[in-house]
Amino acid sequence: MKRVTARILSISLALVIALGCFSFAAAEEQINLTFWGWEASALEAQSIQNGITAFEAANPNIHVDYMTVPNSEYHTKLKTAMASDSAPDVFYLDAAYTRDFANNGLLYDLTDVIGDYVDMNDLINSSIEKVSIAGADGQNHIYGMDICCVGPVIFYNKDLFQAAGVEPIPTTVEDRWTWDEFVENMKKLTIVENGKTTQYGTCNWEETSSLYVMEYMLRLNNAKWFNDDFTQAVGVTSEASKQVFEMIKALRTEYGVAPDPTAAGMETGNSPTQMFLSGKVASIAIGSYALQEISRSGINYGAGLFPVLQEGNNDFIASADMKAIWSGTKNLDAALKLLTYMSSEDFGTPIYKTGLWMPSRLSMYSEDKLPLWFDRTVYPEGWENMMDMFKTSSGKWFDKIWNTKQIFDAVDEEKEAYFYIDQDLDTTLTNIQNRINENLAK
Amino acid sequence: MTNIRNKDWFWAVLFLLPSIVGLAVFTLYPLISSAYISLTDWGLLGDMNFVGFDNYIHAFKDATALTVFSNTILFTVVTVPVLLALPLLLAMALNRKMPMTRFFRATYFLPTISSMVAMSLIWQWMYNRDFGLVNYILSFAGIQGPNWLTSPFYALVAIMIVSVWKSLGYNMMLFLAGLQAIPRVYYEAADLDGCTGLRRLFRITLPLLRPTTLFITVMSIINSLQVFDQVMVITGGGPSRSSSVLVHYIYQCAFQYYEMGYGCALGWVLAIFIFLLTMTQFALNKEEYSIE
Repeated sequence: MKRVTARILSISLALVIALGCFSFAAAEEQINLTFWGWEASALEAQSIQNGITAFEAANPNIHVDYMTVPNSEYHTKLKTAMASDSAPDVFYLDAAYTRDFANNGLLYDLTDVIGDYVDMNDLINSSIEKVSIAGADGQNHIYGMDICCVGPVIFYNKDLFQAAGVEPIPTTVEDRWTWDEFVENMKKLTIVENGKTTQYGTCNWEETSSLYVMEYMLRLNNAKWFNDDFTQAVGVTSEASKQVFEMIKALRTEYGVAPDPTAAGMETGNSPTQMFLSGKVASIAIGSYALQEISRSGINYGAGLFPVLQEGNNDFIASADMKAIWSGTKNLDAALKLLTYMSSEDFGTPIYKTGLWMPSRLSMYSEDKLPLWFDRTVYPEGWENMMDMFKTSSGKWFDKIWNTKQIFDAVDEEKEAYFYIDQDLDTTLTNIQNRINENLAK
Repeated sequence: MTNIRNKDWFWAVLFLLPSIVGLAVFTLYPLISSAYISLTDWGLLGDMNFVGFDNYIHAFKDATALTVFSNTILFTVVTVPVLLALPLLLAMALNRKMPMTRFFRATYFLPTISSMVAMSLIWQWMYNRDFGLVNYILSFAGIQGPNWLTSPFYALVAIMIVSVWKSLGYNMMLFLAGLQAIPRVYYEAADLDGCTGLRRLFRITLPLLRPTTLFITVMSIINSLQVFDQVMVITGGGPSRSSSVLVHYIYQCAFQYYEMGYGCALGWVLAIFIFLLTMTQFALNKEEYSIE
């Protein structure tokens, strides 16, 4: 009896120890990841949180701490966190700063592993340009992965257009307005009462250089600001650049069809989007990300393409955030899992549906996948005509440089000096080129 | 006796320890670190290389640094006198017996306890040329208001107005306390001697307010030289640096351009400038101090 009892006790003890070890092992495998992003909108943050919840359910041993940081200070905080060795494992990265981070060895090089998770042939052209950065060895390296793109479009208020008798802005390349036609239509939409403008035709053309409008206009006019490997600014002072600066300034100062911005080069109360949504402005040139906010505003809106500036130039640019892994992460495998999940269709589809993002995967534009995200109640009439532009888009110049913040600030300072202080245009463009080169040489 | 002294020392050190530790960790260490970093080319990430006084030499050659420094001086030269005169007038007005005095005191003091960032956002709305409250009010007087935040002249003026609005109540309260500390007997004696009006102001009130005035002047100058929040939120230093100030540029160099060494050097230039200016003011008021 004693022997039986002893055996039972021994087996029980062994089981307890085994279970204990198992639980200990399981507890040991529990991984905590940190993920940072900026909050473009509360809806985006919620969509990301939903995605993280789904990721955690599929990977029960991984817990993700998600933190949002205001966009304006995002990269400053990110770099400070890296300097203090407390950076997030996975994070949003504005493509414009990729080279700044990569040059400092802060990003995990995904070149050899990303192919196991992502079909690189499925990426649209601008995305390939965005995630591939030339390294010091002359080879292209992949330091991040995306799932979305954003390109420049013109949103307009259909009711105000109808009231002014202006046709909808064309959505096909062949039908695009000329710049003169655009200006004439914007004049019709501008209302002046007792010497005071109560409604403007358009806005946001003097947008900060970190966004879309200025670069797109330059490229539509065949301007080129950099050499092929983006190590030097060349051609900034060209006639094509001059024309674009003059055209944009004239909208406000000569034709009076665009309002003065509340403040120069920054997001403000009474921002161009707010002015558009409140009916004070009939159209807005802006990144397609604005569709999410516009579609929820209740206004009767449409969207169309920028005017044609040079015959045969059908260029289109796109960019957006990507996700990257900190080179100092202690949880590389889990971080890779999270990054690739956040670069998956499952993660992107709910956000495509809101209009905030457009897909950066060619397959998402196919007949069978389009119904998954192309919501007719969000995407305005004719948007499908513009989809080819996104699919064939090129990457942005400013995504390929370094010391980007200094360069953005330098370009904006000079732009503002021309737009608001009447600095001579030749001086402005010469200064821009010199200041870009000073910063690229650092 | 020695034991008592030792005991006193022990308790003195014990009670002072939290302050000493706080001062060492949060003030002395950053001070010494920043002084050292200012002599390097550290960019927040990567190695620190000693560059001697290169950053300081660069500060005096950097056109942007000179622009923001002159903006800062202009800001200080305009706002400090206003922040002395207006609060003094208000304090004198509210030091009288009149209805709703407490309401007005609280109203003027309200901006002081409000968040500068939140208030700056509201001012930004109010400054909109076409749809802002400021130009709307000006229009009643037949004045076509300027485009406050995109004009190189008015952008800094707009920041000045917000700064004065924010600090007015605080300075007014200090003057009010100073006024109420003046013994009534001086005024009674002045009445008997037939001294009234402006003579009372210049012979009694202002001389007896000198310690308060000195304190407000010193603090207003320091605060003006360190102005940041409202610039960052309302104009971001634009257009084209016309409203950018030194602390805003220091922040940009250190945390946005990752030139931490240069940012620290600019910080030390500002600190030394403020120190010299403050010492000069104390020296000029030495006589007053020796009386005190």
